[in-house]
Amino acid sequence: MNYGMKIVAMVVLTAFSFALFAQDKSPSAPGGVNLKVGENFYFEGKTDAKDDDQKEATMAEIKRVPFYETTWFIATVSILVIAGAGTGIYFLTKTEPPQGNILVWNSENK
Amino acid sequence: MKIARAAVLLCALFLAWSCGQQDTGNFKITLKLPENLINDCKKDSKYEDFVDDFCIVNGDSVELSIFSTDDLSRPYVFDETRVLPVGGLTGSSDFSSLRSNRYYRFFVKVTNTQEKVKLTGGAEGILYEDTKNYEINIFLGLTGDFVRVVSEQSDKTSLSTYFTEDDVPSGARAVVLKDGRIVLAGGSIWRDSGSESYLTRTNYIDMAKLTVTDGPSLRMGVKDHVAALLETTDAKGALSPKTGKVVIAFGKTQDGYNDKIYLLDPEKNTVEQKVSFTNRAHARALTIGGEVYISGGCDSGSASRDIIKVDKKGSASSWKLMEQGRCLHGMIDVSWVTTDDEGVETLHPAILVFGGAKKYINTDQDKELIGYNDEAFAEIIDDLGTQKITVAGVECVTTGAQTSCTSLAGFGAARVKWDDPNKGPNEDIVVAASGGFTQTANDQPLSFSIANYILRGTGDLTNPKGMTWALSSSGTAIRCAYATMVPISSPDSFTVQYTALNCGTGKSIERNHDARNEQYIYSLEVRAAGTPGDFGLSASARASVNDGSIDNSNSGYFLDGPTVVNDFGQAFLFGTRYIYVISGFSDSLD
Repeated sequence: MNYGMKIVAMVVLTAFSFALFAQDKSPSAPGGVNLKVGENFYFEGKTDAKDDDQKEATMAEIKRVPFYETTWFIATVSILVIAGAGTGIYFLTKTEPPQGNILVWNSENK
Repeated sequence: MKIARAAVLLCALFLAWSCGQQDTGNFKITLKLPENLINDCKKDSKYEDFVDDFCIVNGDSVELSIFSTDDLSRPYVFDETRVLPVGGLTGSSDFSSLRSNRYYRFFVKVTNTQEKVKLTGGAEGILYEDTKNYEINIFLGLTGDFVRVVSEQSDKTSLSTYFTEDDVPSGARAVVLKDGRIVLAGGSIWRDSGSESYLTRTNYIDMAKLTVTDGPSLRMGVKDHVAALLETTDAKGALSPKTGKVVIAFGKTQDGYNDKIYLLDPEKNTVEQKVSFTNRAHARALTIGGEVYISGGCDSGSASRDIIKVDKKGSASSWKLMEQGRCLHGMIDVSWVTTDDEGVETLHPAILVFGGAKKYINTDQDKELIGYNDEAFAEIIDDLGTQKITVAGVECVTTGAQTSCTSLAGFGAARVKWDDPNKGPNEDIVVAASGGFTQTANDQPLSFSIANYILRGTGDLTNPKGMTWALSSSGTAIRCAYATMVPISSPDSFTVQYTALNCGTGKSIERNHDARNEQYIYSLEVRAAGTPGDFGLSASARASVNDGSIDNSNSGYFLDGPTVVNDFGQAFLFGTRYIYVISGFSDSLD
């Protein structure tokens, strides 16, 4: 595996680790927001110090669908899982000649 | 969601495992070829004057032999040999898997279409682990002939892995470690002014990497000292360190002579001072059964009779006394092994010493060679004591007021052995000697020895003191005052045995910065002729494909560099700029 592939693999691993961490921690994070989406929404949070515009902006952010439920996230994870599994299966089952255990010579080195 | 998490985890594990595939015990050996002093390897061998000895060409065979051991204190065991046909000037081939946690030894032999073994080389002491990748070099040298060691053929200066021309020591000493590296220690450097600087420098020369690195400094600068490998062991009897240690002892110093014995530990990269004896230089040393024996040595007034033994714990003590104090002499291992009814082998250390001087020689007027006053020309020392031996051919002849006695000092000497009783005297002790200087008559100054000598003992190998000894000689063009010689490996079942002789640049008994000539290097042939029980022996310099055994591009300051031989029977000779190698014909000296 070359250096570039190694970097890609590490990025993927980091992304996965972050994703797992985010899914575990978001619902109960200290100072977080309990959110219920409906016709008449409400929220709990420290909004007293904010004016109406700011409240609206905050609500606009909070109204977003959790990232792990988004289509893009599920699609990305799916692709990466398949790619990772494919990579692993490739290395498990590859039959190409070994790169090492080789004797080489060169008489043309003039 | 649990399923998704499991999938992600599986994916991560796969990727992590995949990343770990970089180090899978891959092992790559690159064969390094010598600099071609004759022609270009790119030329086809159809050219009439093409000498393919330097190249691997179409039609050759590359034979790779693999040996291994689980501990360097035990001998290597042969694993397998692969013969690879060569289809061109370049090539590669796979070889079988290696086993983890074993030490490996690789020997490569290149044979041409006439089955002439033309190139050999090897690497050893490599601990293999299948969690690492390896890339090593094996430097191939000409069999029975000398070449410069260079890391790249295209770059003639690429073994600036050695030293710059005006920085190469005279009177240095070298030792091959158990892992194949060479330790070079001490010596002195001549300056243009004629002054001499004594070196504390040590270096490791790694032939698998073709590099030179600094070792620990000696406690004081010395030349004309001794160096030998000591196989120190730990409490369990295992070799420790794995490289062995280097005994460095005595020698001439800037202000006089050294009286100390040091131990260099390549693993810790330290030099430890052991005991002191009396001042001396030009002693000789041997490793027998992993222990080091040091004989003689001299200062400006006299020569020592001591034989000192350094045991596997690193303790040095006086072992025996020679009948005759001597330095600049020959010291040869004539030990033997006995086997009892239960198959247990016992080593009986025994040493042959011969020739030499009675004091440190500075000029040709120092008429102090052994032989003129009824001194013992040769002695054998073993556990039971010391015994002068009578040597046929060693004599004094008086004509009028002038007496001529056999004398020889400063020469190189090596024992050669035949493996086949039908090809040579395999039950005799045969020692070749060449170079050095002699005193032709009692009223004559010292002069170059002009003969190749064979000192031969016939009889019972387990009783060297009881053998019949004779010295024979033949004329030679070899001229050098301070020579060093080692045996090299010979072909199996062959009539000729070979040695490597480093003549240095010294063409004078007096060692001055301007007393120099070109670098002379020889391979000596010891040829057996006749039938079993009646073999005659002769010694002569082997013809070189190089120009008259001279490296014309290697002039420099006066130099008498050391010569060492590795486990493959491959000799390394230290010159003024280059390290030279004379390769043997088989995978070991035995």
